[in-house]
Amino acid sequence: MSKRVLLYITFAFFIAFFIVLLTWYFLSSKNEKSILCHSQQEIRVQGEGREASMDSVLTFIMYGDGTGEVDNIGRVRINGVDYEVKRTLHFTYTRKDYHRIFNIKIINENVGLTDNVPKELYHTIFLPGKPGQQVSLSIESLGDNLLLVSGLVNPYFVCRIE
Amino acid sequence: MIYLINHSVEFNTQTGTLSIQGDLEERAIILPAPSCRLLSELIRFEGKSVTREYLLKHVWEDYGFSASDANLNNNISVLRKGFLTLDQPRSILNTISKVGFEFCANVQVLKYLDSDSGNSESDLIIHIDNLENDSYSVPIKEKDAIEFNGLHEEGFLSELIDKKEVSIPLKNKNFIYFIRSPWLYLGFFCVFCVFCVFLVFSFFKLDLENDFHLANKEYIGLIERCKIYNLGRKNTDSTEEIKKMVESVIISEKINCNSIDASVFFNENGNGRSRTKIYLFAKCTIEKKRGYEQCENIRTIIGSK
Repeated sequence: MSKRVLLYITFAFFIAFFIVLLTWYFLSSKNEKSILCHSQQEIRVQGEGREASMDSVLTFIMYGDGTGEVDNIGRVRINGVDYEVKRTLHFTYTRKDYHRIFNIKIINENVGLTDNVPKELYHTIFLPGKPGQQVSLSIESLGDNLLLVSGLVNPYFVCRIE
Repeated sequence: MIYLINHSVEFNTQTGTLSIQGDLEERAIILPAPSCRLLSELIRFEGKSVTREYLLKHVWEDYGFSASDANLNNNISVLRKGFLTLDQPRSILNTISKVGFEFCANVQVLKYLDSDSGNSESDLIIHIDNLENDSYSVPIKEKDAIEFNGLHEEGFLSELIDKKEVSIPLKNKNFIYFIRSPWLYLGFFCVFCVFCVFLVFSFFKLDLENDFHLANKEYIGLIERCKIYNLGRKNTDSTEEIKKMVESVIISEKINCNSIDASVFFNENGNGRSRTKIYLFAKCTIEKKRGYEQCENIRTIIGSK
């Protein structure tokens, strides 16, 4: 192979490598869009001498700047007692594992005036972790305008992106 | 290129002249351009017959002129007259009946010209040996491709650049060979870049619009107008069992799969040995113009949390 051909090939490899690097950087860019995701949820929990259910409308928001909130409005029943839930959980998040795993920490909980669900029960039964604790969530796209929010093993809900 | 024909006649392809070697310039015979091209083609096949069709194509059509037998005959006459004027035998240019013509002369290359026939780079002469051990010279432009097959001689390209002549052994008469063409390398480079970018995107499996990783979902089947998908890792249950489970949920929860299009996403975690089972059943209705419209999730946790 002549020197000139080798030079062409080496040059081509460098340019291609540079393009791949640029693409990688673009894909891992920290500039994120805001996400507004809606779903209707019915959660049923049975076990450990307890029966609980929640029927609510959930709005999941990520602002793209590392903060977000979850709005939950509906009804809760725990061991036959009915409650009303209307609260907003504010959280911070950081991204790991390229666009899939998020470390989330609930930093604030705004409970509405009509919300009468005992905090401890709500945190224990319906949340993946208590406020102040860091939990890992997986957020993936199901295609089109759907998001799947899961724990590391079990999915939590599917919501529709606005 | 300057050829020496029969040791005495010089044919200069650049000036289009026939002259006796060493003679005055004023006595040179100026050939019309078609005759010049015709003689160049005949010289390429010296000693072999060339068909009329070949000459019509390579002397006229390839240059954008219309070819005709009359034109060919006229230019053959011009060449014959020229050679006769320079005391060459009539047999230098023979007519082969029903085939074409044959140029019978001793031809040598006297000189290579840098701007021969308007080419910006010098022509290369390649001597090609065919199976019968004959050889013929093929003058080619450096950027042209000639057909060649079977050559794997190392260092051939550098030989072609450094030397003007090189012998190429052939395995058969049909040959394919690409002389270094920058467009070829550019093409390979573009394909390579596209392939690399494709690899990167495939590795990340990104949903570009939403900037999220694409979740694994397995299409199970259709129940009325609901498409059923299994989420996450493949369960040990078969698709039929999953479909039955989903069907039972649809019936027990009185979910409407009859009148609206929807996608149902299902996931089950835990097995017979685990104390905890978690099911997620999510039905998302589809609005044709806007995509998914609404999602209803039923999440059931049985056992310890």
